[in-house]
Amino acid sequence: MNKIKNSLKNKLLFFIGALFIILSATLTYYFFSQAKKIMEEELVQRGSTLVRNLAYNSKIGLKSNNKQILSEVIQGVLIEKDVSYVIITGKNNEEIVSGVVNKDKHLKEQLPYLETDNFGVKVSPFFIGKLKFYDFIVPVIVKNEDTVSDEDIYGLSGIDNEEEKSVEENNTKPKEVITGYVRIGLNTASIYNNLSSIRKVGILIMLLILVFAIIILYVFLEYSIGPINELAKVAVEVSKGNLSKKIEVKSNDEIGILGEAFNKMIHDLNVLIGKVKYSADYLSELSKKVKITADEVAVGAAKEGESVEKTGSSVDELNISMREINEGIDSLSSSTGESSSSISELTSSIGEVNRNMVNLTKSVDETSSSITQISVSVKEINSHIQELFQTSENTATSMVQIDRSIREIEENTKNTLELSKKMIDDAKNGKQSVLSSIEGIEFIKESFVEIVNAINSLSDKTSTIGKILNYINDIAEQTNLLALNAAIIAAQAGEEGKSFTVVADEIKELADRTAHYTSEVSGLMDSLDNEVSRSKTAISKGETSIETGINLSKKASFALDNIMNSAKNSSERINIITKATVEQSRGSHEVTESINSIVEKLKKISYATVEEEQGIGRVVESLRNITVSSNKINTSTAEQSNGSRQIMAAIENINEMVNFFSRGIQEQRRGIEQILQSMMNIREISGSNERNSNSLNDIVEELNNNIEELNNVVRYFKLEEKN
Amino acid sequence: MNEKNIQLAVFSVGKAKLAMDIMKIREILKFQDVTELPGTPEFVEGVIDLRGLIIPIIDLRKRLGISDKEYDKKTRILVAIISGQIVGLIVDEVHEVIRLTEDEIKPPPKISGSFSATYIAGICDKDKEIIIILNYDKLMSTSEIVEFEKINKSLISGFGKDISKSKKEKKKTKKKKEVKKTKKKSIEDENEQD
Repeated sequence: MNKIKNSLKNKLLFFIGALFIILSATLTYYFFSQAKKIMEEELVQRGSTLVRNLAYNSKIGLKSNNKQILSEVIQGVLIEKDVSYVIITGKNNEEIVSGVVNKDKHLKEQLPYLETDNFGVKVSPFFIGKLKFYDFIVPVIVKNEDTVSDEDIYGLSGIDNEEEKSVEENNTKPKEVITGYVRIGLNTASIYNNLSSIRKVGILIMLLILVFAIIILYVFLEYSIGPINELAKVAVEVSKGNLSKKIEVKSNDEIGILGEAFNKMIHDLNVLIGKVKYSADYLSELSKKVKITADEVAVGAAKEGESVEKTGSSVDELNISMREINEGIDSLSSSTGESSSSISELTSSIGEVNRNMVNLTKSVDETSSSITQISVSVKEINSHIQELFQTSENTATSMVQIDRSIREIEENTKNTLELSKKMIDDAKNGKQSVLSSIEGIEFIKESFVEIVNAINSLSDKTSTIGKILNYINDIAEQTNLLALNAAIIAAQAGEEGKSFTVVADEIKELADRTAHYTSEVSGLMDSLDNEVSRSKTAISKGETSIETGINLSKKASFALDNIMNSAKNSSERINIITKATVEQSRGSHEVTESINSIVEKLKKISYATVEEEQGIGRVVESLRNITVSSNKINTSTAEQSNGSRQIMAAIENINEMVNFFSRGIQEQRRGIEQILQSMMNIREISGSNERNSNSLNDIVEELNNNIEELNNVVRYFKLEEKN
Repeated sequence: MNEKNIQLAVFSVGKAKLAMDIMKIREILKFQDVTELPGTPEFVEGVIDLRGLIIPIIDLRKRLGISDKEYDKKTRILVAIISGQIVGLIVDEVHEVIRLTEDEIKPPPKISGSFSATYIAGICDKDKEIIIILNYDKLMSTSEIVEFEKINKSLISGFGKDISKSKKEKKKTKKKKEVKKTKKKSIEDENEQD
């Protein structure tokens, strides 16, 4: 299968994928630029607050010019997040104290000089290398250069208030002066770090979504545009002439409808090509037949030509002889015509012979043509008979097959009959065994009743034994109690009762043993009771099983009866079928025989037509003989002519008469020439016949060529396989 | 046989196996219906008639604070003499009479203040089973004994029997004599009934 490189699916996939990538990239870029902006604004806000706080905190240090306080304050700021450096300068912008975060230490030399502002926080971003910093400068303002009151340090409630106040004070009170400046640098590196980590995650998510979307898109396109590919492939196949392909229509959309229409078209094309092929085959058959006929016609024309040639040669010979006759008559005319009467007779006889000859030739020609026709029709009959023969032989072979299958059916029905008989026997046997099993089950039922009776009496006896056991138990207990009391009394009797103690102990032991045995017996009785009740339930279950067994056996017996009846019915039907098949077999035998006899008769007819043909051959032969005899007649006339020459010598005198006669002969000669002319005409006609047959052959040839071409064209199409 | 041998009647109340000196026991009876007696203290179940002798009955389960149990054919009444008074004790079952030397009896665990500690005379280990030997005289408090005396007196006087000698005699030997007398009488009664 050839793959379509620039398929619609790939184009769509590429286009929508590219669109999606551009969209997602734009969105991502917008999102990150916004995030960066917000974070930087936040940083600036924070830096402003920090620097104001620092300014406020460093007032005292600046006032007293105490570096230690200032550096402590700076340390406090340096630990804040993102703070890169802190510088506190004097009022003349000279550095008093500075601190740089360790990681930014090397940057200190690169810090740009930034203009200070006397009012408020001045924010100025700058770059060192790729790193972006925000620098915040704020002036430290106090009321008086000499003294710093508590109010200056602590009295202000907020930084903003202080700023406002300092501005106000600067404007109104000249005493308030700037003691120094505080400068803070904030590093934006953390923002970029955060952004880059967020960016990584964001890009990853975008990629995932992209891959997912492309997969969904691919599946969708595969589903929706896939059938078009299929359609295209099948269309290519059809354009190559392969009509056996079909499109599997899966969907109900336009593509599905297209596929169905395409299938319909292919099917119609199949039918059409099939019809064309059939017509071409038929035409081919016809052209073969026409060719055979044309060949026959050609053969006939050739034969006709030959016979015309022969006739012509005979006429030539006749002419020659006529000339000889003429010469003879010339010589005769040179002699005196004595025997003019005999010559006239001779001439007349020669004329008669001549006439007879013409008639004979004509009749021979007619006979020849009719015989040719007969021959052609006989050939046709023969070909028809051959076809008939073929057909009847085919029928005979099919009859033989039918006969064989009928015999097989007969065999099978016989087997089936035997099987059904066997089945009846089996069913009888089965019924017998079912009846005997019912009897057995009845016997089991009776014995079950006996067992139940026995178990019931056993149960009664066990309960009696239980009662007896209870009595024994009571006695044992009583004995035990008596033994205990005896032991007590014996103990209280002291030394005198000691011997009695032994007796009391033994009595107690006996009582205990009795109790022990009775409890054992009672346990045994309990288990016996359990067994009895279990066997009772088992028996009741067995009884129900027996009932179901009997019912089932009866049902089985009934079913076996049914089987036997149906087997008998089927056996009867099989008998009928057997009879019918035997009759059928006989009938088919008869049919086969009659067909065979037809074949025999056809063979005979075929032989007869062959004989007929041979007879026609013989007729043609005799015609030739006739021609030969007519030639002989000619020679005899020549002899006659000789005789007449002899007579001529005798009758020179009657030359005039002979001359007159000669003129008649001249006329005769002209007549013969006319005959010759007509013979030439006939020859021409037969030649044209031959040419016509040849052209017919050519036409048939051409027709064959055309049919062959048509067949080739049809063969180009691979038709769908018919089931 | 050693002179220090003690004979004990072993019985059970609840899950506990208890023992009692055989010399304190007069008789072991099958359980018989107890007649409730109005006006008696709560700890007295009622009375039974033992061959003409009316005996107050105490349920030892109640006494020892064990939950009630229905009486069955193993239930026995131990007729014993406690602090000179004849009392019938209802127990779950009486097992046997065992003989012990005094060495085998161990002293009770010291749990001061509780009632249980007072009525346990000792503990012994018989066939890997702990048997608690009861101290009879501690089974009832003095006031209860007085109550009993009253009951016994009233019962005796009620039946008009002449046991006036035994009213003030609290010595055990004399009690034994009285017991012998009553026993003889009861035997005589039985003979008469037979």
